[in-house]
Amino acid sequence: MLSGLLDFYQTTGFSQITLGMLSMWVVVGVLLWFAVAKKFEPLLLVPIAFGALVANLPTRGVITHTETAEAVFTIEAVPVHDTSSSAPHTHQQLRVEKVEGGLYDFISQGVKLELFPPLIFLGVGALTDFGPLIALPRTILLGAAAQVGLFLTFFGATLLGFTSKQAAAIGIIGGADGPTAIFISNKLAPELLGAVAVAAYSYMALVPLIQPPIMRALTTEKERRIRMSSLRKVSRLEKLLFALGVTVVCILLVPDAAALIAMLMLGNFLRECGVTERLVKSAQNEIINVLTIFLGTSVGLTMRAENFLAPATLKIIVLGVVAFGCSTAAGVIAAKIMNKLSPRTPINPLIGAAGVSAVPMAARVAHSEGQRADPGNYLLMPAMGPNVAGVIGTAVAAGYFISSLAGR
Amino acid sequence: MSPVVFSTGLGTAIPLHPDLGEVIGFQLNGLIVVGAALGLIWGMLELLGAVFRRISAAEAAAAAAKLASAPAVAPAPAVAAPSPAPAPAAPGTIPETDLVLIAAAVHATFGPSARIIALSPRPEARDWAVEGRRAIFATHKVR
Repeated sequence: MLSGLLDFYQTTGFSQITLGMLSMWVVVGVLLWFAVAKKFEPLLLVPIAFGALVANLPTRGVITHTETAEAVFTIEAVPVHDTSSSAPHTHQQLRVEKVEGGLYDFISQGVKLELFPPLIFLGVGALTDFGPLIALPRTILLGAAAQVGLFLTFFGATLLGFTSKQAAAIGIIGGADGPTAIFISNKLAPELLGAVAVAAYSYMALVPLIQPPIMRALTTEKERRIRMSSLRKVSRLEKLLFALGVTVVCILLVPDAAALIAMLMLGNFLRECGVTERLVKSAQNEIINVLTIFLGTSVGLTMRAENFLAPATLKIIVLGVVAFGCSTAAGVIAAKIMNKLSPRTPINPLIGAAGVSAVPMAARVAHSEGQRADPGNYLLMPAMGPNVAGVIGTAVAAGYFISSLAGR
Repeated sequence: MSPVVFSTGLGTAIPLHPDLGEVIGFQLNGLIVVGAALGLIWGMLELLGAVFRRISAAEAAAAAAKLASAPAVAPAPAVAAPSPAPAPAAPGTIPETDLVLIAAAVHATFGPSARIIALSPRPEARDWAVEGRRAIFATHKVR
């Protein structure tokens, strides 16, 4: 009887628990505490944490499928070096005994095949109003300046011993754009996907804590009190032409950013054209919500103890906050330089910090910092310009990294 | 063993473990690419803005001219007595309708346990309410 119980014990998951798994349960607990108790990016952190929990349990049929397939396939092989019809063909019988993949393995194909991030960008485009950027076009430069942090972090990461591909995946955290970070990590450094995604989303959630001290340190009270005039009304036709123009310009310049830019602008075109309400509603709600669950759990599933509990993760966490800080500082400094060059139409330097593309959190932070200095100052709409420009800038930078590093 | 070098579409090459000069060159190239993309979009937006501002100015001028040339029409006699308008609020006070709206908004946002302790009118806030409404109407298809 005892041996029977021992045999049964061997079939349970208890016998397969490791110290690494237990450590990851603590990490999961911390992430869930951030998400649920502190409400830091709960829409992403909850699925990520739950996926990480599943990844660190001895599951069956969830990540791997263990049923015997018992199928016999006949395959035809042709030598690679000579695919002409005269080449000798060989026939072999292949017996498949085990089929890899369970529920989450199939869902994770959306990340592995780079489907989820562009589809999430479709929803982001459908949710984003580019009107403030179109009304005040020069704020696009703040979105460009904020990408400085991304490249500086690339520099720092290479100094810390990461390869150029890994450094690019880490640097993109400074762009504060989760889907782009996942997209580029999967392409260039899939081994860092979990750590990069967790760092990106954690820091996006911590924007209200990370940015204000930097913003206050780099601006004077007088600068923070600068009021900006109301934005002009932007017509629907302008918004439609903007979506088409950005698609063409960005894809021509950086074809590797096409998947992200095209879907972002498709979502925005659907939103602005006014004749595809059903599609816009789906993109804004059902599509992005379903994909957020899948993307989050897929990323969480990459956080296995043997991958995540490594010194590299700690370095990524540190580099991530450096990236965020540098991007924020670069945006604010760029706004100050613009004010020096064009003193007659000053912009509030606080909106430069919104150049990191955490939409709309960074714009809200700029607005609330402005109101701390002057309660009657309303910076939300002007700050949305650099904020959405940051989304485009990060996607372009990601395209540059991929085109330069993906090893064509 | 020689390092792996990736070819790039931008004319630069960066090894897997680049030296300082290569990293700096790579960074500068990246910034130029991002700056060029966003700079082109900026130029496009300035061009679009100039065209659309001219069009809207022309439309406004045409509408003003049409209004000026239209014959004056005598006001029609009232068919029914209009409903009495709410009494205007005394200077420095908040209109009754605004109070109702604020109370409803507080109730909907914070729940029945919330109590409004004090309200102080801020004249400049009115412009932003108009701006907010304008922005909402400009970005939504209102049926």
